[in-house]
Amino acid sequence: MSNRIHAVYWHFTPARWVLISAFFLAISAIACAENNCPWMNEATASDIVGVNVVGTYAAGLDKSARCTFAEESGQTGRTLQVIVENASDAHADYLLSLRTFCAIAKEPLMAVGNEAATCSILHRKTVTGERALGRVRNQVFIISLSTSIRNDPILTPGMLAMKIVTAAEQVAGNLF
Amino acid sequence: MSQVGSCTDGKKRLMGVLLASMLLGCWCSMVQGQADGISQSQSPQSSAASEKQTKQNAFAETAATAEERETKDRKAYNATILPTYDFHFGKNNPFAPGNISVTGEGFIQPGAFPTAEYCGTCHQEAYAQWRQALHSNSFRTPFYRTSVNILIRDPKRGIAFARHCDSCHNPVAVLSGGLTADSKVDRVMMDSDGLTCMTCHSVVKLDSTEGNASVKMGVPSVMVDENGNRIPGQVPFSEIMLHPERHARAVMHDFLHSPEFCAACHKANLPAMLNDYKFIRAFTTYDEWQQSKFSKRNPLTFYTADLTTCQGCHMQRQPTQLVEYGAKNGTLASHRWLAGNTAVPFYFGYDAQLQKTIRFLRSGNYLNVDIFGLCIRGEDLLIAPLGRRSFNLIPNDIVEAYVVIQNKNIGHSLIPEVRDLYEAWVEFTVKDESGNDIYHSGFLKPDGMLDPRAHSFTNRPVNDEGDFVDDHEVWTIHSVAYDNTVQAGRSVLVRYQFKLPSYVKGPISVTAKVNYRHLRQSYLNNVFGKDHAMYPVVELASRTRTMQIGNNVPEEPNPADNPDWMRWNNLGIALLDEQQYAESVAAFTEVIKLRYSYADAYVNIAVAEILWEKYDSARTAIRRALTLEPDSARALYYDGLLQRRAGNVAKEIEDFRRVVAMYPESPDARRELGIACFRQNDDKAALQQFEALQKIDPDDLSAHYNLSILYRRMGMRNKAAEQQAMFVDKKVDPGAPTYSLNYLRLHPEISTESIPWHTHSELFNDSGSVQHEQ
Repeated sequence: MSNRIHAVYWHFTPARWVLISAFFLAISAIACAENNCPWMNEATASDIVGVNVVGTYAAGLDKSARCTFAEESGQTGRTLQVIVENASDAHADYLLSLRTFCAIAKEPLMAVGNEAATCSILHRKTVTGERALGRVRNQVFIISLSTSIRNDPILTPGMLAMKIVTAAEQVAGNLF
Repeated sequence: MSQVGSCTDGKKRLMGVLLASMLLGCWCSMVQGQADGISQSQSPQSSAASEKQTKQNAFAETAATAEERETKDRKAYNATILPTYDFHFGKNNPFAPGNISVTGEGFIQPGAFPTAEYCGTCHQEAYAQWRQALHSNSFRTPFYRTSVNILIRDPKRGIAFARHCDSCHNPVAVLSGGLTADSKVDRVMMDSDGLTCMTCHSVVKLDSTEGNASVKMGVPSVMVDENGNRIPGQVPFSEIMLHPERHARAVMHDFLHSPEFCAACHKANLPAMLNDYKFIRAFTTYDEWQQSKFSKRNPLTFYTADLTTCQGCHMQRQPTQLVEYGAKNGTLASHRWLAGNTAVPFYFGYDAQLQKTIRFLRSGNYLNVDIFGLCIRGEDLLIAPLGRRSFNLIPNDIVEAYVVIQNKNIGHSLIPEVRDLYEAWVEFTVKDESGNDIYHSGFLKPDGMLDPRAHSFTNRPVNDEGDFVDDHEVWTIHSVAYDNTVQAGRSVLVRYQFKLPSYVKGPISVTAKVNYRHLRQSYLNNVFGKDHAMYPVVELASRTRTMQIGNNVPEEPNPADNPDWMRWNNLGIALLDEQQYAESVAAFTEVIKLRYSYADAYVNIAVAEILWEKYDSARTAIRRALTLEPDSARALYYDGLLQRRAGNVAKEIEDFRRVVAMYPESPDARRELGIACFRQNDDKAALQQFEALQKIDPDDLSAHYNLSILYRRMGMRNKAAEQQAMFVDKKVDPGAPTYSLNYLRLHPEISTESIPWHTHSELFNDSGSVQHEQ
């Protein structure tokens, strides 16, 4: 039992996410493509982020995939990222990811996927983004909408909270 | 000194001139001011009119600007969409396989549709209702997304084919050119709002009753100008308040109140360009309504009713609670469209919609469940109607119960539309005096799946391998192995056989219920995986009878029960559809005993005897009916068929002409009159009838067939070829039953159900052998 928990926890520890990110970085030259994101197009992502964005899609070798939408202007202020992973025990994986990324406070999200929740991304107690985590059948998704612009007039905390729900609906709908 | 005058004199003259000028100026001013004052005090209306004119001019300018802007925006939008749009079905069919179209050139940008929130500023009640209803959630519901995503991901088809489905489920996505690979269209608003206010309220024309979104969408507009020209897009609320009649002209049309409007989407087919096979009828709630007593268009119904349209049941006026400028006398035609879908409000947490839906399903006296009769100990005698006859029960008796389920007040079949996804069934239980089950059919298993041998109102579409199309992959359907329903106004007989245990002493209770679950459990499993909440099961109607072990005597009728004559009539109708003609005639004869001058009872006997091919006795019955009611269109229709059989052509045609005169929108009457004229080589008259029939039902096979011949005879070769092609496409594939038989061979529980005359029994297994007691 403890081995299983260890294995499952390893699946979604922050360390692993660092490794996953490094992995994506390493293979990005090969696997990254123009936006072939199967869960959202650039026009929709632009609506969510509030500015024109361009997307890249990277498919991992471990049945996970990631879409990243960044500002077209090249500024690195605002990004939308979607990660989707197949899981044999998706419910357990979803709960673990909640514990990992939304440990402090989370809001359950009604009518998105099988189950879903959102939580804020904080930087020094300031909301700099919102995250949505959820599950559609055997697929777990994590969506991050964030800004590094101080007092961002477009992605205000209220707008972040609203737009992350929209993003979750879009992604979950396309995963069904 | 006198020659030059003095300077003083000159100054005095100058001063005088100045003073006179001033006085003159003042006088002029006074006169002008008085004139102004006169103009203001004499016609304040003209001043207000002037202000109004100014505003109108300003608005007209705004309107002209809006139109100009819309045209420019649309052109620019098309320039971005066209280069990458996949015209898979041809440049002339940008929205195929759907039937939707839009005025003007090319696609229309999503921003042209005013948002529901904009409408909801003044129409708060309508908005609140719509948000919880099916129309707003038509796209985003996971029950739809699961199915359409399969089509989108299908490597042989892809997103272009989803235009068929989304023409009704997300028309803005279709009309904006969003359904193409690598789409450049922002999906946020359209996906969230599905059938938004300005999709229905922008339709400018109903193209036909072919369905698959057979409407023409106008450029969305909430106002017309003083000349009645549509002004594109949103306008300031103040303008709408100033000219509410112009707002109404833009968004309201008479056809919104007609069932033909609903038919645009509540009638669907699967065309060859979708399935690469042929035309397959998906569903047609509209045609079912036309055939029902509520349409007043069908002379052949078993019962009659007042005219009730789709809107009459599904958009009943309700008192408003929120601000609602569209209300009349404090009520609004409901934008909840209450019907059978409990799954969507359950999933989205729309409790008000869920509760109202359940109440709606239970409220309308829509079904009647009648535990009509018993056969005991294998005897042929039917003890019926139960409650009106004495009978005796003893332990170990083998009892056969006749349960008659009547579709009493639904304007379409039970269950309409996609019966493969919904689950309605009869739950029949017999309990002993302690409440223990003696017999139970139609139970739910612990995993939520329905008893496979339950009597279900469902169907089984199959693909070309004979496999059940489980995931609503409609583009793979080649045949329907089994289709069980109760059509509007008709009844079904469900028979159950059980054995009374030896120990039973006290009274037993026999209950028959019609239950409904939206959606079928296995489809819910497909959508969510198996770990999902239990979706609501609603009891639509039920009846319980308590029976004594020993002697049972007649009892007072239950107020909810039908009168005896109707109970027999419903049995007769059910037996007719189950091809038990002798028994059907016997049941209708019982009706005559109770209502001697009820003309329709005689017609019913004639109908059974015509199917039974006993034409002589059918004629006797029809003559009796026409004696009682000489103008009965129903009797005249069947008399026409009998006159044809007897070779009395003139009388045959006269009968059908009379029926058509009374029911000009009856497809059956038009068809039979057309056939009668055709057989007399009266091509012109036949053509008139079949063309009228095709207007009523664009998919009627006999219209296609006969028109192809008639057009050819008249030298109209192109039209003949068109009709012939449609006939070939729409007729049943003779090989299709093979797919059905493959399925039925492997599924004996459904195979049994597919035979109209069958019994649900614990005493025999599916192969018909005696079930051995454990």
